[in-house]
Amino acid sequence: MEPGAEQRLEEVALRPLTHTSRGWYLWLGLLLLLTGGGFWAYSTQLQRGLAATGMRDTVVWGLYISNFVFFSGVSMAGTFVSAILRITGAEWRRPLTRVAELTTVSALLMTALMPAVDMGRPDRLLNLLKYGRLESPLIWDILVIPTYLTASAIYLYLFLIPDAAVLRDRLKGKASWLRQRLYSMVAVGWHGRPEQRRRLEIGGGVMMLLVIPIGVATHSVVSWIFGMTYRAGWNSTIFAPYFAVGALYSGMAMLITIMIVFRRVYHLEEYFTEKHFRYLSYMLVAFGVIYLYFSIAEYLTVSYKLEGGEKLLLTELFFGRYSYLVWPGFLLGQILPLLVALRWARALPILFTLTILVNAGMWIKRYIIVVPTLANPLMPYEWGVYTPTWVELAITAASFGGFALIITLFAKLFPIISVWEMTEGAEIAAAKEEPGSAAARPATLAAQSGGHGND
Amino acid sequence: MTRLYRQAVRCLAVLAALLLALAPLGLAHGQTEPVKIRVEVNDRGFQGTPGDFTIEVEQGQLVELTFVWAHQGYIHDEHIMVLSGYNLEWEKISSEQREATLQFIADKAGTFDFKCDLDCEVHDYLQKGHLKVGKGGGGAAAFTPTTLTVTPSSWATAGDPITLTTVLTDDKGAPVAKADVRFFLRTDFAGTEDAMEIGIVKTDTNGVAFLDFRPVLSAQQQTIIARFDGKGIYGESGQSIEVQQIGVPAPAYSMEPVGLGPASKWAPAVQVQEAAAPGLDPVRYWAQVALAMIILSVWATFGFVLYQALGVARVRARR
Repeated sequence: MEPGAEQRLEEVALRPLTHTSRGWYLWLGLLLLLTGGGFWAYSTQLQRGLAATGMRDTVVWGLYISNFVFFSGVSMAGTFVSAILRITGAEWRRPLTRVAELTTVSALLMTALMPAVDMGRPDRLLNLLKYGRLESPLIWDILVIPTYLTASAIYLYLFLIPDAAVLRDRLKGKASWLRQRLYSMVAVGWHGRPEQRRRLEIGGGVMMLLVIPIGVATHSVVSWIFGMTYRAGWNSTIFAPYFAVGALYSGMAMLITIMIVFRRVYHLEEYFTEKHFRYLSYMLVAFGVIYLYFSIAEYLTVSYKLEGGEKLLLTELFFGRYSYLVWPGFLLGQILPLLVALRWARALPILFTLTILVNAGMWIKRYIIVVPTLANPLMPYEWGVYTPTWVELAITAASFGGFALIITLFAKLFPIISVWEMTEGAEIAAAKEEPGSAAARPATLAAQSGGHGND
Repeated sequence: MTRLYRQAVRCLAVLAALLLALAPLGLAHGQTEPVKIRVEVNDRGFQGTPGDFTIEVEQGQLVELTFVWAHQGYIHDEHIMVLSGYNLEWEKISSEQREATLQFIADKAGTFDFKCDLDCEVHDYLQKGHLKVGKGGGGAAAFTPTTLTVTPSSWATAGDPITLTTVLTDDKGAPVAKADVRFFLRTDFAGTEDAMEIGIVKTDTNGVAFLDFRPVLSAQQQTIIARFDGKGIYGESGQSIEVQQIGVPAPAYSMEPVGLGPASKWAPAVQVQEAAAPGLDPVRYWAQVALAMIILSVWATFGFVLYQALGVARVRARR
């Protein structure tokens, strides 16, 4: 790292923690308003029951389950990408791992919340454990999502410990007592000693390997809620990989969106560089093309056979009442974003717009998977009807607000880029340049708080 | 002559006053004459009108609305008319049963839709009937009081199911048929105290209906409210029932496999070879064991990782 670069990194990374602008308060107010509106809507739903929603006996899942699938998809890219890049030793990962892991945890919290909201009476959630059967994909879901959430939270926490030690030492006397206690607790006495580093490396290494299969399992299980059902639109064998790739596509787009926002607001231009956005864009295109391939494979085989109610469903999707969602979702969410393969489309304002379009398209895709299939009549009677009510819309808005709120509050308490990983990367680079020098032995994790801790 | 004339006028005045005073009593309990309306249902819709068709009454009037089957072409068509807002459903009309009549008191002002609720040949023509109830009309008909009796009105249970017998009668003791009686459980949930609906039953021609209820909440004392919201010419009535929990409620449903069970239980005369050994199919059993082992291994690994993280703190303590 260049002389003074480490100090500049700390200044840039820690400045948002100690300085609060008026814009931040406005943003926080907006998010609190959104989540508050959601709580109000939820209290209405508790009092009036699920009759307050648009869900009825035929269309029993609506916005909540669409949001559930969407947020589970968003959660995929974060930890997954962070783990893969760490395992493969991709050096350019260092500034973005924290944002990626945080995105996962935040999205997973919303994912876990949605089924509880959808059940109407949250106390009945326990019935799934008391009376659930292991043969049911819903039970697999109940088991795998908390597992993934726990894994992601541990993964985020482990690599936060050295940075918490930095905060504990640097903000001593500058931050409130409560904050200092928090940093001290999170740092668990970290001083970068060899034994401490060894333990963190073991824990981190295990979690890196573990979080990938858990992530894949989570998205497979989410898909099997639908795929294990013999219904037109869901009766498919490729749903698990289809969902997993869709999740990576959606999550990658969300990661880029959040990185662009933080780059702009926290002035991280030096750390979230053109190179990062180029590499992430390549990954986005790769996932987008695979997802497109799966989409074509799915619809082509189904439309060729036209088994059961598929014809009716496909006609409604592509030419009927859902075509106003399907076509814009496909063209704007799946085709147009592939432009990021081109250099000019990676200009940040364009990239930002395209990643937003990806997630809008993917949300529409989730809605299309959930609602039209349920509305498709199993018997030759009328189609089911579903129109979301204000309660569902408010809770949906609150879920997005809650997702952003968690990220906002976390970024106010902890650095959004991993300071110790950046320093470690700089030391490794220096060691490569000067073999045999002192820096050739990266002390990395020790570098941040070498023995002057206060506890 | 003049005196006699004055006495006659006085008598008439007293009589008139008495009549005026007693008039509301006479109107009550459906003694007033209903406004009779007949609506023909034919091949072109209500009274031959395929579009909107409106009938008008005044608020408070006793209305007798009769739908008359009058098809010329669709002789197999059948209809069941329903009136929204008043929650009324007429008997089915067909070529065999040509008329269906219901009396009701138009107590709510506004416009309410009536339509055919069956998938009939002229369905589209029979969807735009409107009953317009004018505000502040001269009608002053009163609802016939009803009495709702639920037995038992209180009982103690350890979660066992019970049948609540409901009898709905009018003020003369005559049964009120085809009435919806709704049951609510007064409950406190997440800080919200309200009545949670637990069932709805319809009375038969004897005014009797049954609700099978199994208390599953753990509250020691529960109150069930049975309510008839009033319908047609009948006023509302209700009753509350006290339930005392005397033990832990049994599970709401059994986890045993659902099915007819061994044939010997339902057909003892028939000799059937029973299956050798009941139990889980081995594939399913081992799949469950494998799944449980995977989950346990993953969570045990989490424990190991957290142990490593806590080890960071222990290194500090040893210094």
